[in-house]
Amino acid sequence: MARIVGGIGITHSPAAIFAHDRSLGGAPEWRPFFEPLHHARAWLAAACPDLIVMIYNDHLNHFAFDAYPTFALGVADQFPLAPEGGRVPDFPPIPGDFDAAACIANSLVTADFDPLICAELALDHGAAGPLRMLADPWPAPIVPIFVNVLRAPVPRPARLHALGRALRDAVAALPEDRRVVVLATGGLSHQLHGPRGGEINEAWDRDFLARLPGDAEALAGMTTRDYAMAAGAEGAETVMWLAMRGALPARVTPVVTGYLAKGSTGLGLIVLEG
Amino acid sequence: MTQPFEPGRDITPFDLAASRRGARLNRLGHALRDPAARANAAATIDAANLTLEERAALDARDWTALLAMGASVYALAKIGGALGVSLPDIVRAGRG
Repeated sequence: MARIVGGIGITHSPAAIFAHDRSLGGAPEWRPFFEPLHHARAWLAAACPDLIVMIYNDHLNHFAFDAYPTFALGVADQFPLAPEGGRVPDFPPIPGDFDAAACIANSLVTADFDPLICAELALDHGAAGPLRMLADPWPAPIVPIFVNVLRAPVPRPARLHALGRALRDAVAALPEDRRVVVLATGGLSHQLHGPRGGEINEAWDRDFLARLPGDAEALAGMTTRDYAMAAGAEGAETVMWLAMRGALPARVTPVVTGYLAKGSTGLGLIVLEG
Repeated sequence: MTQPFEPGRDITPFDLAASRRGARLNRLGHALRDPAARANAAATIDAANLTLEERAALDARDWTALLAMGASVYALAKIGGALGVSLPDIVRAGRG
């Protein structure tokens, strides 16, 4: 029977991804994020996952607002990288696992989560960036789960947490013995538009990281507006981490925690073991 | 770039009304992710059927006005990128 061996929450900040791709992480200004990232990479390598369920959001690089899903699930054998900024990132497609994804689709819909099922899905930095920060491309086949966090109405924090619990059951229902890691990307606080642009709420970010392991129920009980007011309109995407947390057991141990407020974003990282 | 957090000040979410209002700008932003469209950014912008007001704001690089017209900041990032303006510059401009 498949089981979840751990969960990771990690920023998909383009600045951090750029620094990783250019091997700039050793610079003193980046060290508070890249040193824990080094430990997260070691943890992931030792965990030897053979499937990664990834909760992420797109940034108008695949989906457009003319037809915009609230949840979407990639059910395919591979996922190309989406064009971004006028170029396609120079990495091979990310491997998928059709059979595992189809089984997870069946379990989720049975549990009343009804995602758009995508046979073709291109992944932007929201998914591909964290994956290659955490391991050389690509560490394991992925099952990508897209969440609308760009345009209100977005799913409630409690809904994301419940999605995680549904994912735990879905993984348990996979027919083969698998070691599964659940990965959520995004956050932490950032506000990109309007008069509050550039604000980072470091106190909130650090509190969120401290509370996610043991106080997730309370974090899931907050409103979407609470998240926007604390983490910024764009930083409210942090709710995706609740899906990762919900997929893990009630008691978890944080084995890596990292944080760096830099540029326009609170760069967060956490690795949880069940 | 990093700004102190100001608790209590309101946040405007990007919502369905903004998305409809800014549909042309948001389609343009989405189109400009593509290498061919970005390589011919001027033609892509000309083909976007922008209103006179939208086009004037775009030509003036008035990011605040474009946001008010319903552009998503992620669409603006792509439009700005095609015009040689970075997202951090757009974020800074939004502060006024």
